[in-house]
Amino acid sequence: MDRFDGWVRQVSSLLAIMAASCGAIIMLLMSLDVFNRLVTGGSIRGAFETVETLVVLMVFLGIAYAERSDAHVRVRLLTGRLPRSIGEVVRLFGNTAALSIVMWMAYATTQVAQLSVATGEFRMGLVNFPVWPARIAVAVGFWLLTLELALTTVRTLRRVRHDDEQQPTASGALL
Amino acid sequence: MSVDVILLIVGAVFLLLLFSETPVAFTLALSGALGILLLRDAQIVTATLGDTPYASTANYSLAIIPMYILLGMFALHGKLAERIYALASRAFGRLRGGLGIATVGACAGFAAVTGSSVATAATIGRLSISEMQRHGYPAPFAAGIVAAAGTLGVLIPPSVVLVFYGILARESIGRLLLAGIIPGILSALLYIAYILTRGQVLVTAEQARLADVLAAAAPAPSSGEREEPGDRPSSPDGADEQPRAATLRAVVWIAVIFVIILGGIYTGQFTVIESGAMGALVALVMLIVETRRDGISQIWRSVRSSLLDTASVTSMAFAILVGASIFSTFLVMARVPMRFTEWVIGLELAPLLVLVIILLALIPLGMALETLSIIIITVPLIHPVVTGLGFDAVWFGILFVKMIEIGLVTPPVGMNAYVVSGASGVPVEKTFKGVGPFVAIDLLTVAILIAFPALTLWLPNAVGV
Repeated sequence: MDRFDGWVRQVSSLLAIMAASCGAIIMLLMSLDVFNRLVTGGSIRGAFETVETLVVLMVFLGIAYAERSDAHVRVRLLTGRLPRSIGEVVRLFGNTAALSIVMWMAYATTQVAQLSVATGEFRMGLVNFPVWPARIAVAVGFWLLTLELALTTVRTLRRVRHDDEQQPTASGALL
Repeated sequence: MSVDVILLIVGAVFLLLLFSETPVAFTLALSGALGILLLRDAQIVTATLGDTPYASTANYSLAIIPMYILLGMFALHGKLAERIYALASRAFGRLRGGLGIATVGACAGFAAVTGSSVATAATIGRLSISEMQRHGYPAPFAAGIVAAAGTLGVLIPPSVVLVFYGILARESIGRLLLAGIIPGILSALLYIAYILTRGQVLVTAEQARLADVLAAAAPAPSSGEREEPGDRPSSPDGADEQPRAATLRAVVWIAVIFVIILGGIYTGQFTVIESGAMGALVALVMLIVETRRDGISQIWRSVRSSLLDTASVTSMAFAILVGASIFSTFLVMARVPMRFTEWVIGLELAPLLVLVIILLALIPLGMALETLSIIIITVPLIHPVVTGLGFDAVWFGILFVKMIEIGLVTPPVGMNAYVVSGASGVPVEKTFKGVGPFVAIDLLTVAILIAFPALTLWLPNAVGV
């Protein structure tokens, strides 16, 4: 279990670094596009489509890391006030519900990604931009998130059975 | 099964999941999926779940969200907060209640570049609350000032929350950002007026020497500007030059970022979406320049942390957006927005009364949910009603966001109060107690903004965005 946890953590972190790199590239590309327009009067060909794809990559490559770093917003109004053991059972229900819908989303996005790859889906614009890499990133992100949520659920289950582990901390939303 | 029964079931499941710690994003997705399943079939649900994540994020306009978040993260790691607070302390420290005013000023300044209330409250709270307490401010008063002033980040541009409202309501983000400026300043001025008045009574200890305040508030000297013991002059006027220069530079950076974002939009040099990237780029330069004495490895660590935090927060925010899109699909299939609009308009109440009821309903929502969730859940429902009644959607957006700010400091979930409590060690009950008068001030501000819409709309109309 710990080994599997470590493996998932490493993959989540690696994808998060890729997501962070996408953020840096979006900033540089959009700024470069502005400077280019000011100097030459024209936009960089494909910048618009690239940014659009990078946003998707950034979101879904970082989605599992957001769960690992407890960034996903949870309402702890009720569970924080319940007796600890009951709170953990309620939490287990909540995690299982999240796991079920995310697994369904992973399955559904994989189907869409397969079709996208098979048809070589692209977006028509100033340049014909391939969409399938972003579709793959969406599916990969959801499958990794499924693993993270499965691990969260297992940790909660352990707390239910051995009432001795530390409770999760508050969500770290920064907005 | 009738649509009304399905709505009841979905509503009950939504609340059950929400309060059992299912992440808000997946609460929305699962409730929406269940609703679609009950209305249609599993195939439609799978198709919706398969396509919505990409369709609701592959949008060039949405790039503004990670860029504003990135800008805020660079500002957080660039020692901006410490320096603004030191400068504000220098400017207002002589007054009774001056440190409180300095805190409001620092929150307003820092909020102007981070766009995040929680980040502002956490950062300025860490610096200011112990200082205020050391100078005779009762703990609830000090914590209340920071928790309330931290909410200025929601109104003063760049505001991620206003951007979210603009995207969901399909309103001009440029107009919204400009519309937030005067209400933000008005809020800050009303806070200051209260602090000055109450400070005369509540702040009992003798004012400390300004040099002491600066010594505690100024950033730790880096290797290149290390001070020897006893270097710091005792007179305020002789405060050492390096922190003074650094604090002045902080103001210049804020001004540059602010002017680049709003100036660029106003002059048409770049779009609102691009303003996020330009602001983030300047903030990155600021971070590198301001932390250059700490060494390349430290700069790299700060940049890396900023980028990773941005990726994490962006994923969280967009996950809620995806969940909300699935939930909205169900609501549209059930014709809820149209029925709700028809029902409210059919009540034949005075439009202003409907507006006030909607705004007041946001307070209990704010007590239980966090900001993004409220916006995403309510805007698609409320926006058609408000525009249907003939109100300006930008004006309403500012009122809406202001009411959410109140939710950020009201118990039991007021996020800012918890953050301030965590950052300062002041018990959360005392923080909520201290926040009370500021909530009253916020309600007064909302009343003023309702009575005088020009306060909100004058600037965007004058600029003509």
